[in-house]
Amino acid sequence: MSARIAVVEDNPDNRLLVRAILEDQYDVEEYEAGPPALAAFAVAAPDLLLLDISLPGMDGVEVLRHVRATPHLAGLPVVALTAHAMTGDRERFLAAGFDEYVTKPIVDETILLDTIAQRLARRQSRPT
Amino acid sequence: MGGRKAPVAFDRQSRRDGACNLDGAWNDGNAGRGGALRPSAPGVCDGARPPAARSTRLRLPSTPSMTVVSPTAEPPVLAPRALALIERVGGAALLCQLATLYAGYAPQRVADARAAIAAADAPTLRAACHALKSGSAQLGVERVSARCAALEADATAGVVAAPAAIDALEADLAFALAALAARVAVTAAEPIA
Repeated sequence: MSARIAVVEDNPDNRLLVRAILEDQYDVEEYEAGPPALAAFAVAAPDLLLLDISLPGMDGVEVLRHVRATPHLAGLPVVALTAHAMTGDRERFLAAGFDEYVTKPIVDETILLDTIAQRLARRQSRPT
Repeated sequence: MGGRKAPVAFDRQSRRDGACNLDGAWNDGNAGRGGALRPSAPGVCDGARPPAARSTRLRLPSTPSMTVVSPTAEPPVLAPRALALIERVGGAALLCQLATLYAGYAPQRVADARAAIAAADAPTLRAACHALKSGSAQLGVERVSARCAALEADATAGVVAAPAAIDALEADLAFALAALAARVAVTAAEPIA
């Protein structure tokens, strides 16, 4: 069974591109904002979350805080997928609790695919 | 704001057919000459031939690796790396779908930015420009993205740009949409490998 990847991203074209990149290998579910994603995760957690930072309303960092504060989601791998690519942004987002950081625009799909594969492998090898 | 989004279906069958009917999806690129951008009707990426050349308002040479540069040059209107990714992942069908989505929302984001400037609302201006910056960059619409980045940086610092900055953004967007339509037509017309 394919791993489930949740994508929270407000730009429809970015969601479509991510889906096109991932859907050969993963089950992709899309959300345009944080609150509906969190509501869905309360029912069924994905295997990995790709999370935009600059979302309208609840931003990505706040979504992450909710994820980390929810017991059954606390260990969920969360990858920041963001156009915030200034010096220091990577460190800032990793310090906030993201597991990985991938910048937009995506110009090399293998970076995203490798990041996801590594995070999923790490999760599966984690002792339970 | 809705819940889980029904995905925009990416039609893998038609990705290699590469046909794209963008009639109605593009404005006529005259914003810089006093015209106004308008939100576009949804385009159709219907997988039916013939390719979209008839739908485009700007015809460019059929050079697959072309970089479209406006008369005033840097940065390029369309960036080849981003477009190459899209074409590699999903061919003409994906490029058409992404371009159509972009043509649908980008003019509204410009309108949002213009309204924010009129209201001296830096946070809203920042949000509109950030969103358009991101979507533009992913589609390779580099000059629009660069303008948005500058506007976003100013707005982050609390500086609201002059309306003329939005006029320039609007003109660049109009040029980019026309160039994008031409690129879609070229990609769709390329022989399938």
